[in-house]
Amino acid sequence: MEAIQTNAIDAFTTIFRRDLKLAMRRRSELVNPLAFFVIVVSLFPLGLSADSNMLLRVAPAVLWISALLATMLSLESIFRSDYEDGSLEQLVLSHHPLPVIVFGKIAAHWCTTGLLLTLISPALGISLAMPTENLGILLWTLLLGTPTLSLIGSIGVALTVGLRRGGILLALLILPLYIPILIFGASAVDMAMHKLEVAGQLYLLAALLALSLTLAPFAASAALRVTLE
Amino acid sequence: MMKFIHRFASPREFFRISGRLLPWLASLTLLLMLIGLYLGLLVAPPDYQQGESYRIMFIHVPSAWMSLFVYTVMAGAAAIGMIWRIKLAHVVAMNSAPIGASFTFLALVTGSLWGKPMWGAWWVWDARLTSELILLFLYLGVMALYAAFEDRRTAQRAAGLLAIVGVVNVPIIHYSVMWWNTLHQGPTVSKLDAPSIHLSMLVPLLVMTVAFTLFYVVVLLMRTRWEIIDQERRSNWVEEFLEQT
Amino acid sequence: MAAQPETRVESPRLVVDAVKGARGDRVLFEDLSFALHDGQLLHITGPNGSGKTTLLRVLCGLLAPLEGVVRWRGQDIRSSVSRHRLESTYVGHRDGLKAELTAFENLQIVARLCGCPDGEGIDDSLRLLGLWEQQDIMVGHLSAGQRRRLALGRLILKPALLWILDEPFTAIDVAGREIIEAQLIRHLEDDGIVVLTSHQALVHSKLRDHCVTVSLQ
Repeated sequence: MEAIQTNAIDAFTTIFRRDLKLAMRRRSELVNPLAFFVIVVSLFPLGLSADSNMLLRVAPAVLWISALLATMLSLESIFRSDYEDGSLEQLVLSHHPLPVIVFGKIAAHWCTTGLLLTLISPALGISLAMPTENLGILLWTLLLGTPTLSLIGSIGVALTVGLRRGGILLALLILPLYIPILIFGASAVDMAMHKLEVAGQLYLLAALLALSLTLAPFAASAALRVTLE
Repeated sequence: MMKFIHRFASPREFFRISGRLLPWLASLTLLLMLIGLYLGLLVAPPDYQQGESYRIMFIHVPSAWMSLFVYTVMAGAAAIGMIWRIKLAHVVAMNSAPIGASFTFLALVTGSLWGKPMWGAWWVWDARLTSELILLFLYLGVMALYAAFEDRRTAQRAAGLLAIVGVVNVPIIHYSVMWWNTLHQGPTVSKLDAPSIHLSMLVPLLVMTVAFTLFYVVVLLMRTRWEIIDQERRSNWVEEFLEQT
Repeated sequence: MAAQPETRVESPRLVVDAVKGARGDRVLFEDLSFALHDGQLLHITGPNGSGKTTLLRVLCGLLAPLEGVVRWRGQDIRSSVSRHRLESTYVGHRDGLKAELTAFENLQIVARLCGCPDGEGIDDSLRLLGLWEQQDIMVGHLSAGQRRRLALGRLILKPALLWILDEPFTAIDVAGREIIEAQLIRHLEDDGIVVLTSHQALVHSKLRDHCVTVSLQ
């Protein structure tokens, strides 16, 4: 029994490192979500106005919604290519617990998208006239929120990976589930800018993260077993 | 007990028993709806603040309740189908989705009709209406996923899994939207939380709720029967049944 | 289905009992039963669309049979999953290789996931498969036949009793075929079990000695 458990940790690190290596080799997968994030954010001043008061008011929502969409568009990379080349079958058939493998893939996905989005978000915050003292809270909310986006998203991708055109369907399945994270994340940034207490939202974001950490890998594994049949 | 459930859950038994029940249930539904509408539209007094316009509540409130109830039933049936591998449960779950979505849509439309005289606008981002809108998205997701697969078994289980994920999220979404609403708009005048609702209004409301629930059961039975006939069209008993009718 | 030699006393390792498989509404096979003992090769034949791949996916546990059970060491593979997983290797018609990794890296991942030690095993398999020279080439740049051979590397790396192979000889040249046949024979002589689909008849006499056939319509 002990041997199998250490194996499960090995399986996690193997999959995690494999997916990181693959992401490094397909540069576009790393760069595209970031570029998308930057472009969408820069559309807002063009569509609204360059007035810094106006930008300041919409900044939390703009940053959060753009990060959410960028994550959503990158979700397919969790399972799509593995499905197409047959690796996913092999992973499902491995004797390791599937949730562990799925968790490794989600963790790698977050490191290559959500984490990077979080890291460049202060620069975009500045471009939307956010005061520097509020950039910290923006980082914190994204740091707590984007892993949840990857976790919940993995369920959606697992459900649609067998379909030839899963893209728009994936958005329809996943976006409603993202709403609580958007609400707490964006409002925390907004309230911090009004000098209000935001610990509550951060706790709620952390609670959502904990909940999805425990449930999402299992749900995604169950979904994979169904769609791979 | 399980034996009994499996027996009833066999398509053939279900078809036989539901066929006997349907006419009775349908008549009862119609009767209760007429009573409810009569009591609600003609007997109940006008509201001292909202006048006659509040009467849409007798449709709006039951539909809103049904939208949540049906979602729960759908997820529950899907879970039963996944755990005990009961075909019929999957059929029930997937046929609940469009009915639930219709109730949700009805709740949204009546809510906006009701909102017009109250708020002066067809749509206000009120917490209840917003939650209802998101619930409609959840229903549409389940239906779209079900429609996307060619293989019926895969479709049932994939969409069922999504319904289960959704049902975990419904309370989270609901409370986050409530919280968001108080944050941005301050507490709005709540429509139902009046200190006490007068008995002459409560009775038609309850009658309508029972009628809506029965209506759901009747439509669900009918849809399930059609699907069973379609699924089992190659088996002997269906051929016998079709020859008789 | 060929009759079992009567001298065998031990119970069969793999038992397929009244299995039904379908794609969509179309039933592909029904009430299909057979049993395999150690050292046997099962060749599943049949025209395109007859359900060969579906049957293989049922045998490896990816697909639940609509009816019936598949037993491995007497236990239903759907309920006692880990034993069957640990002791079987499936090579599907998709290779399960990452195009952006080298041949060596691909085998490295296979080795790590099945818990075998790195290093020697991988080198040996690359040599056996005739891919030693190509080990540092990205799999995306290998030919279809080379990829197919590399995919079969997981058979050599993972010490599994049951091999389930979907069209292992597709796109493979004569030399490659000989390499694979040699591996199959070695596995069967070590009392392993092989289940495969192939359009080509098995020509090697040693393989034919071990072979039983199931034909799907």
